[in-house]
Amino acid sequence: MGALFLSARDLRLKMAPKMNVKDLNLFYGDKQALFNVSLDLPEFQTTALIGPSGCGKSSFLRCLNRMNDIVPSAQVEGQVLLDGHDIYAPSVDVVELRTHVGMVFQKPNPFPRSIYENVAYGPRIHCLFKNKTDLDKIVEKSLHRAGLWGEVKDRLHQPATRLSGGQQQRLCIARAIAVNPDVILMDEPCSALDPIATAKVEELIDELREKFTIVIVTHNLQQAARVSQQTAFFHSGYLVEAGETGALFTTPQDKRTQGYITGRYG
Amino acid sequence: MNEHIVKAYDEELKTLHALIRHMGEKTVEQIRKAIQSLIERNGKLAQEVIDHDNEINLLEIKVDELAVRILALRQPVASDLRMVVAALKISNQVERIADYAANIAKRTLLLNEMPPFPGIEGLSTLVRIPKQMIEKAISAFAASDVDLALQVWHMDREVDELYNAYLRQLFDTMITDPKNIGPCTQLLFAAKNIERIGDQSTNIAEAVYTMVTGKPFKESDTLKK
Amino acid sequence: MKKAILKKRHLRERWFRRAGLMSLLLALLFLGAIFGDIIYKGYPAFLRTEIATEEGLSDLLNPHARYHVQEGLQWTTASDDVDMYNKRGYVGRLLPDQILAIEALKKTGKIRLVFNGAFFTHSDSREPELAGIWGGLVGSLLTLFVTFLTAFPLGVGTAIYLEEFAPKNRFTHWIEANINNLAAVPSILFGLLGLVFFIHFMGLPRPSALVGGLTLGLMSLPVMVVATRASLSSVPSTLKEAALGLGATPLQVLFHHVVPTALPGIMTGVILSLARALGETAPLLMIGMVAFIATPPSSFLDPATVLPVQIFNWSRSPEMGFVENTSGAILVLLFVLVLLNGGAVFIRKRFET
Repeated sequence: MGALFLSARDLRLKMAPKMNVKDLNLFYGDKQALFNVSLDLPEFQTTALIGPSGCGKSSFLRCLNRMNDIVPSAQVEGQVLLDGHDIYAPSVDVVELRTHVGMVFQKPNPFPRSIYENVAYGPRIHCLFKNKTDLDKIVEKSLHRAGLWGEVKDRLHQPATRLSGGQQQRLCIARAIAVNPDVILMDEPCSALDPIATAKVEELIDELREKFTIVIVTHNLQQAARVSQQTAFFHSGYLVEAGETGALFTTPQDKRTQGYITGRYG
Repeated sequence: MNEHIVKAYDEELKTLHALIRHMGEKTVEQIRKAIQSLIERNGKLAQEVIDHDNEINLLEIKVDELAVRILALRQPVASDLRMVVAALKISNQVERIADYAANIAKRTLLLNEMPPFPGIEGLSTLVRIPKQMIEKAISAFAASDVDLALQVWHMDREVDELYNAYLRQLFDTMITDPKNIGPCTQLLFAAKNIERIGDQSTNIAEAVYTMVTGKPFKESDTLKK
Repeated sequence: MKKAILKKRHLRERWFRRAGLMSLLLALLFLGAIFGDIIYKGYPAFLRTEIATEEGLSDLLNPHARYHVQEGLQWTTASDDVDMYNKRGYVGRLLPDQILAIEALKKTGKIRLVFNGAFFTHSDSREPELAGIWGGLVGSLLTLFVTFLTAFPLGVGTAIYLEEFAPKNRFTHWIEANINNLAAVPSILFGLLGLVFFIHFMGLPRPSALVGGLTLGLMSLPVMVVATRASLSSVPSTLKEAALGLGATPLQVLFHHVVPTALPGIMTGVILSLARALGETAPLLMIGMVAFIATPPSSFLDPATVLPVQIFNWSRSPEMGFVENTSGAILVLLFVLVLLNGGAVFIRKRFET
């Protein structure tokens, strides 16, 4: 039933996935947060991660760019493959990994600098440009892609903190795009935004799919339904069900999924 | 299945469900009365049926409004969504069945202006199965029973056969004596309405099937039976 | 019933506010009394009595002026006894005919009060009317400089390491606890440390700005560490996460984002530490900066004194003139402290926007 509504582009779901997670187990000290999670993240698709509070979806997301490394007690078992290479292999440079897998956070967190400098920071530290004109171009392209160029092109050197919440979040997206990652991770990016700003970001996510693979954690089921092609439902650290979004929301296979998405869970 | 966390949502779904059942019960009653009025040549009863049809129309409007409201405000998904969509379809179909019943009652009034005609009894035989079909179809909806729905679907074959046999009878009668054409035409219409009741009931069964399984109804699925 | 309870609550509120106001007024009263006294005693230090240069008045002049009356100078500094009499009518050691002479001078306008710039430009002297704070100021500055150089890099560096890089185990907790406690140790103990370590063990010259600076540096170190750590931990972790997510190394996160954001807090802590060091007396007394220094130090190793010690010394002298010098010097010290603290507030406000 779902296949009727996929465009030709979306049928690329069947192509090799950008990231594979195999039997991922995550521990915070003695406490286990994720149990044997296996999930494929298709390229150029948006995958939504849903589930009740504390189910492990944010922890899972943070495993994808090794942000859990910051937590001293975090232990990861299993494999997370990016283009076939395990990102937890000892030879992997975390700093380089994060140029391939970027992240946007729940609360917009621009640096207390100018708009230009915010977007330019990534390219600067990774030396991704040859001269000033190059850098200007990168900044402009990223702001364009984030749908923010028109609104800020005349005030690039003003502090980023003067932008509205929705604009700040789009700036954070532009900042993440500027290093040209393959995958963009989003941890509830719209939860601090009003409906119009939310709609703009969702539209942006749809456009970004052309060039990036996106994984988004959201509490908002309707948002997951709107923006994603694949949805994964987590519960108490287990991946209960994952599938094409349309199918999952009309005929979920697992009773727990059904209970959660219809609001009977609890 | 658990209750919804939001009780009001549960109440709305239950109300929708109940409205469909109510419509079904009333319609079955209308069919019964219409056939009775026809057989007994009871003009008063027929008029009752015709007047009562409006109530069922109002019920359909209520179902529509409530369903749209639930869709807008609750954004139902999965089983809830399928139930609401089924309710919309089924209310439409039941309302049509009720129209057919009212139409049959109209035949009564017209036939009463003519002398009594023997072929009428055949109709009470003809109506038996369609009446069962709509009863069972509504029950299948009420209980989310796929097997019952498939049963209903299969019953239509028999209705078609009986209908065709009855038609042949009427044609024979009309050919025998042109005087019979008048009453026979009315009986023809009544029979047609009864056949349509059977058809619509299969539509209801198909809607119930989709509601429970989430898949569109395909004939090949019935072969499992 | 409810109304009565409500009334009682409001009444309690009012009394509490009144009590607060009373304590505030009491504190202000004490402050006013202290400042009033100091100002009253001190402001004349900024004035000086001069007598028109003429023969035959030598005994009224300042002893040095007596012997070195310069040609061409219209006015010469009076002796401290004359000065005291002129300012306050304090007779002291003056003989009756000296008093008469002074009164006569007053009538003929041959005696006047001028602004005592020498208070700021002269070093210490046996004669109160010639004594100035210059030596103390220079000494303070040099000492403070050494204090800053000692405490700032060590303090900020330690804090950064403890906050961002050190593993969180029992050992580091123990270190933290000790640093916190050191911040509350009486300053005189640091003086003892300075005496034993810098002077006896390392043999550094006794009352020098170097030793004083090093001692005060050690004293300021714990405070700076604590203040810096507090600033660093107040940087929101979302900022660090954002930088890490972009692929910044921990060092880049630290110096591109954390430290710049924590800087106002760190600077406030540094300035307040220095302000405290400026006013410290006890540890410096222990290392021997109590001597009479007539010339300001020209290097970090020369004997020096600091302003608070200067004040302490003057307060022990018998001459009446030194009373006003003491208070005057206190005023100067307070002024500098207010300036420093005000600077800290200004910087904080400026960077918080």
